[in-house]
Amino acid sequence: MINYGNDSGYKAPSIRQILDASAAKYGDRTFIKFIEDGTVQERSFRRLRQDSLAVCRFLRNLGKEKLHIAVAAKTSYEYIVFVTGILTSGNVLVPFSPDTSEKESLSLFKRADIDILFYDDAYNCTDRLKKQFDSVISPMNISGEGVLASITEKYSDSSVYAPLSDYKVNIDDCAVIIYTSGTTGTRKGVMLSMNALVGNIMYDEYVDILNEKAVVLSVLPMFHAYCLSGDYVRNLKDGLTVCLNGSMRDLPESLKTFEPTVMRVVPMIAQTLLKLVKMKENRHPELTPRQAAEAVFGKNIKWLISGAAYLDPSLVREYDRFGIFLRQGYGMTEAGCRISVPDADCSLESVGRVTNMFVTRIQGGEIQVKGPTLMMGYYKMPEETKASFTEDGWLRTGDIGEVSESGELFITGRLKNLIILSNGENVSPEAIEKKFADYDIVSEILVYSENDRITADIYPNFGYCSDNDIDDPKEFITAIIKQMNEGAKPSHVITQVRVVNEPLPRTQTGKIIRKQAEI
Amino acid sequence: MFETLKALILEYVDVDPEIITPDANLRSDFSLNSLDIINLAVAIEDETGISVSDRKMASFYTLGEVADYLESAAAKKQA
Repeated sequence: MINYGNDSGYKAPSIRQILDASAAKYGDRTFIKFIEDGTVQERSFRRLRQDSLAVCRFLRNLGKEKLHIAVAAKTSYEYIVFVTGILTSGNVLVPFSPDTSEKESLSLFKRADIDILFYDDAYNCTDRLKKQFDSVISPMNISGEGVLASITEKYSDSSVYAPLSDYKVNIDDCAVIIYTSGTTGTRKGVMLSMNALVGNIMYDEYVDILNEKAVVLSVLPMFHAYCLSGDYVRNLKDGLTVCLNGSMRDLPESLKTFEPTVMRVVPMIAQTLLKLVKMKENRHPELTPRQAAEAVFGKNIKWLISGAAYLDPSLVREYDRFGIFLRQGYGMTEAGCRISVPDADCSLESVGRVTNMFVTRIQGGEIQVKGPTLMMGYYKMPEETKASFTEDGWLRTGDIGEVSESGELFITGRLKNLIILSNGENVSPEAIEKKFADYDIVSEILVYSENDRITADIYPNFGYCSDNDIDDPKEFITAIIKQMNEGAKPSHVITQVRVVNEPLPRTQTGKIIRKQAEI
Repeated sequence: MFETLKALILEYVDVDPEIITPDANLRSDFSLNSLDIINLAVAIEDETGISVSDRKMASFYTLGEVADYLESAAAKKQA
């Protein structure tokens, strides 16, 4: 296997080249499936190319280049067509969540220098927002077939505009700006070239399930790089069928209808689907574990690939019982997205194997990566860009961890969360928090430093307490910590415990908000 | 209606039936996340035929609030 990590001359194909190749190779085979008015609709590889190039011509006909085009919509066939049209037209795609508020939209549109807005019915495009766009074209609602049909009719490949789509993009130019979730402060616009966006999914796959026979159910939002490059670009290249899930409420129905073999998920989705499987087991004790799983996921399910947050190994073991491989990968938008991907041989604690698009090194405990798919920088944020790279050009992931000889990556904590005690010792709070994973009484835990003392805020699982006649959760938890402290390194000894009655505060994306270290 | 909800909660999460009271908090007492609450809305619709939107469902804190809403929706349906 060639490692491209040190290959500064690596060139990925463009989206246009992948679109052309897949239309030629897979033609009328179904690429996208979705449910509309209760019936399954299908769009072929050839149809996607035809529709996307019409959008490309429409945009090229505006006579301007490098326009920043925002798309604030949920995943749909039209969404994919407009995204592809933008990426093949030499303009810059800026995807946003359709849940973005008016205030945040106004701020982001200004900071990202947005010229054109495409949105759908899920986005509240207020009059105030519409007034921001009168220089090029008015914002367009791409919901349903209306707008797309009028564009494909006028800008078809037999129209006078046809040659406009022969335009070749420079794959080293910025193709997409993706705004980070902002858990660490101001949202930053990660600029990715076409080479980074596409190159990131050109790694050699370790999992044999992702072949032409596989059916993917896309449940994560495509305004994130993980889903955009994984569920869309990768599957377009490899000829897989991608089924679109309308909303989280539709997920049980989508699973029954499409019977996928593989899904990319976040841990919360895996947890919730597991509860549905257990509900089936409770209602139908005659079912085997696999039958209960098939009643929820459909009969073909084999793999769930998790990302974005820590995956509890106990969840992986539970899924093993149902004959489903649940494993996690690791990445960050700044690296083009994925850095490591899982396979069936990876240990439950690892975040998969580093792909052959990267070389890695550990500096001061931090994982640093190099490869041809790193970001160009943060849009209009030179200081933040400089801080995210080392002097010699390695991307600082901000995560602490190690890489095994076999290439498996292990994350032990976040550098920014690292507690530095007055004696100079570094303590990863996540390493202490993970020790509590096997204690059912602990529902949520946050470890931090207060007055140079390792402190733990714990929200107990009150349901577990009542099931097990535990009247005083604090006393019970204190006893666990006392026992844990006896075998712990001196720097890992928890000296303060607060048992709280309310769940710990979380960010909009569901992550527990960390307290700043106070020493 | 409350008994129907209680049965659904018992099937969905592993909790002591005694803590399933009208005052029980969906999130802190049953550890339901935002997706669980959407699933509960789907299960309620399957069981009772009453549709509760995701946004409405997310606005409830306690099981009693859900039961009150369902009873009022059922009464409107019958009227």
